[in-house]
Amino acid sequence: MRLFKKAASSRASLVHLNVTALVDVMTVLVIFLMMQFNASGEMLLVSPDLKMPEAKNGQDVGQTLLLSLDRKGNLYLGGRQIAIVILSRELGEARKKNPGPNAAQAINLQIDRSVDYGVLKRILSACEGVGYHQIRLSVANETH
Amino acid sequence: MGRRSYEVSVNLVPYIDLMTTIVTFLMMTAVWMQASALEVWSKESETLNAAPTLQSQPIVVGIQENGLVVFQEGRPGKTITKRSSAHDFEELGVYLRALHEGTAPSEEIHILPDDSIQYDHIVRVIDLARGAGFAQIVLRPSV
Repeated sequence: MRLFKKAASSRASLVHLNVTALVDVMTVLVIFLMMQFNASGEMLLVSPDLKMPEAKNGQDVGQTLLLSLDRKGNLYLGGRQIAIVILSRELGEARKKNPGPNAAQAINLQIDRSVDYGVLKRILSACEGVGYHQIRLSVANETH
Repeated sequence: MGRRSYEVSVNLVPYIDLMTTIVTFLMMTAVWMQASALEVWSKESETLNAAPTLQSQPIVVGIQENGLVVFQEGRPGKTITKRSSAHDFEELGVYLRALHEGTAPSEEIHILPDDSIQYDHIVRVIDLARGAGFAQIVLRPSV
């Protein structure tokens, strides 16, 4: 009887949703995601068909022109797909836009781990031909 | 006399809105793989001023189908044969470290892979050379 009375009297009161747990989870998630946020953006272009090799002694990637080749043979220069036969020409045009002496000599290569050196050699020679002498091979950091 | 209520509530709605937006944005742009780069020079770079000064007879690591060969002063110094049909990178790592810490420490090393060698194996050798202390790594086309 008493219980019934209590329920009837609180009917008009405001119902509060307890959001403390939600706020806690959100805050932890935001902190975690912000800590591992990568502002440089090079990795956003990795295609699902491209599995990079792993290495322990890599250095910072840096912001330079990006050339990627996936295991199906698709070649991307700065995010745009091109054919390997016109690679030299496209690289030459990219080089003309940024003809600086030192930093502009570098190029990032993102290449699938299963690609043969024969194919890589063609790409290297095209890079050499237009003046990209410093080659940065992108690798995934080895986790163990 | 009416009962005075002291219940104070903070309006969390804008905070939750903001958090949800930030979480969504960060999750969409999240990169779950940390990338880095291994810096190499290719053969023709020796003509450049910015390129490392090449020694007359650098150490060369040949990556071949049947094993790894380390050339010193132009002659094959050590051959590391395959162990259970895979390249023995551990032994190469130990050998390169010993070479770098040896009597005449060299900063430069050349990598000379065969055309059929997978990129994964080349990167492994470059990584080992970098780990052994060689600062200037030159990737050469096979002859």
